[in-house]
Amino acid sequence: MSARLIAYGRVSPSELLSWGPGGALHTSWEELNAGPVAEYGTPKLRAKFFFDAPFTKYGRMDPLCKVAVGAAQLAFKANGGLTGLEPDEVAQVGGTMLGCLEVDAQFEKSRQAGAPSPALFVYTLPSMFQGEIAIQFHLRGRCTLLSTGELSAMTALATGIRWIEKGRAKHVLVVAADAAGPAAAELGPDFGAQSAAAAYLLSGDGEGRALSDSRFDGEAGDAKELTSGELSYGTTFVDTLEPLLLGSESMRVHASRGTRGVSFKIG
Amino acid sequence: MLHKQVELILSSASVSGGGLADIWKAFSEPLPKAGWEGLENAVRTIDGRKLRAFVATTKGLMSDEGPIRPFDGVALPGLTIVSNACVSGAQAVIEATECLLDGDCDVATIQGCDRITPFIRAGFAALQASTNDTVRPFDRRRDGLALGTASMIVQLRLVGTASHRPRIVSYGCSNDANHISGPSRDGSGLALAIERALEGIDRSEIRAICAHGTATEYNDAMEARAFHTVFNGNPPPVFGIKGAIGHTLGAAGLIEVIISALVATEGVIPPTVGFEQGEEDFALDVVHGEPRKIKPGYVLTTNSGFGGMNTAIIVGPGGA
Repeated sequence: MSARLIAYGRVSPSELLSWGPGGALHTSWEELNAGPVAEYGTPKLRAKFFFDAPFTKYGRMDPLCKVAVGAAQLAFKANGGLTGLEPDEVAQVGGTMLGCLEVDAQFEKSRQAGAPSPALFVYTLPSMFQGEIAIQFHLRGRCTLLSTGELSAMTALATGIRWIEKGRAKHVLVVAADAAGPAAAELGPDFGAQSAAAAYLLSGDGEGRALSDSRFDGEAGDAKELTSGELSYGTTFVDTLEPLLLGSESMRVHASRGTRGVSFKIG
Repeated sequence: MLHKQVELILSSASVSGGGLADIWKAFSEPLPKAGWEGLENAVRTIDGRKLRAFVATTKGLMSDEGPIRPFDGVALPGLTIVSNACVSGAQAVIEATECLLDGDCDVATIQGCDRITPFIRAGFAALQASTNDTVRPFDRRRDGLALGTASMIVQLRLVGTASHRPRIVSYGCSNDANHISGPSRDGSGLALAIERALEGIDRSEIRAICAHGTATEYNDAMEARAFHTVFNGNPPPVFGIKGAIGHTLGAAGLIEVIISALVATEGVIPPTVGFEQGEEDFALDVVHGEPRKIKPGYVLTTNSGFGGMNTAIIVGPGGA
């Protein structure tokens, strides 16, 4: 059984994008009058950009959860909510490179100031965005978070495809996300500010591009080698993969870093 | 239930304090020499086979000196970091098992590790989850966890025929979808994970449960409810090791898989350090005081973590 990409959502420094049976969206932050670019590389993320109803908890989330939950909401909205999905059977695979680095730094500041914040500490785990997504969308399937550096998005997506193909999950929400700001900047001059996330809603049923045959090795063979686009960290390759997912051509795509590689078939 | 043999081999274990050695006394298998030898060394001992390396950690990106560059200086084959809060170690076992089953590798090496830093201590203290007293898993006087630093390295291998080594029998996972830092009070999320692990297995074959047993009020009550739900009010004997070694976070699930494998193979349950008197509601048969002899067989080990994560892994003795 192939996995079908039934809906997709993406948040990035310049725009919001989604497609699925429930509709499509492509809008810039300027069109949304979202305000100036803030410390995590996008305008300050607010619930109203993604959700139709008030969602007060969103404002209390850490930068990683905000961008990841936003992308998941775009994908679910594009799917028409949970239409065609059984929430108990929706699994999650997450991918991230920097994880909760930014909120780690915030919590550390609060600790050094003598008042460690429990509200910050609960977000100092890279997988917390999956917990928030599970709560918001009532998803009780299996859940894992994988980090393979700049291959994190491709690894997570290839794993989600594998889970459907092997019958390990009926539906999988794959979310690759990173939020980089002041703490990332301390890592060095290459670590610029960026908040980005992509959410891929996969299912064994339904309409959408067929994705199959995941491989986790460095051999590209005759696959199309993906190049890095504008997105980086754990969302590297998300933007260069996107037009191939939207197109109609069948191919194997491969992404690599050093001796490590990930590939899968599209179409 | 797996239809292939995935065997478990313990390479190295290092746990702060003497708690692990105390637990290990119940078994005939010698405790591997303690040491902080890295995952790279463990991987280098295997030549000519397709390898994958997994690191299970909750806090891998932060050191006392500040953020560390991810993947700096790491040259491990197919390295994947699995970071799923307190189920990380168990989740890495599941990821590695599937990697073997799918033919992505011949040998999977897993290191579960977390160092307890002032950062982590302050966080759990801020959540009022730590005890200032003895850690008492499942005891009616329990009032919180203690943290422990640990590293454990385990190899998983797919073998064609039955081996004498313990094996992974089955597993299941779920999410509570309930609360970001607290478990579902009714245990339904964990029960769902256990039910998934028990698919195709007669539950009367489960000889013992190695519980997450953090000794926090809500976790242990949640687990007790889940065990009663799944085993129709009559769960098998339960034990926990966090009273002896503390909560070792990213290493916890991996250590508990190995201890459960020893219980499954040798038919001895180590006592639950810190337990004296259980709850009246959802009472459990908590093994304490002395080791208890049981018939070797399947052992269930469970973990739960922030973000609603739950895992259930069933391990069995070799030779079956």
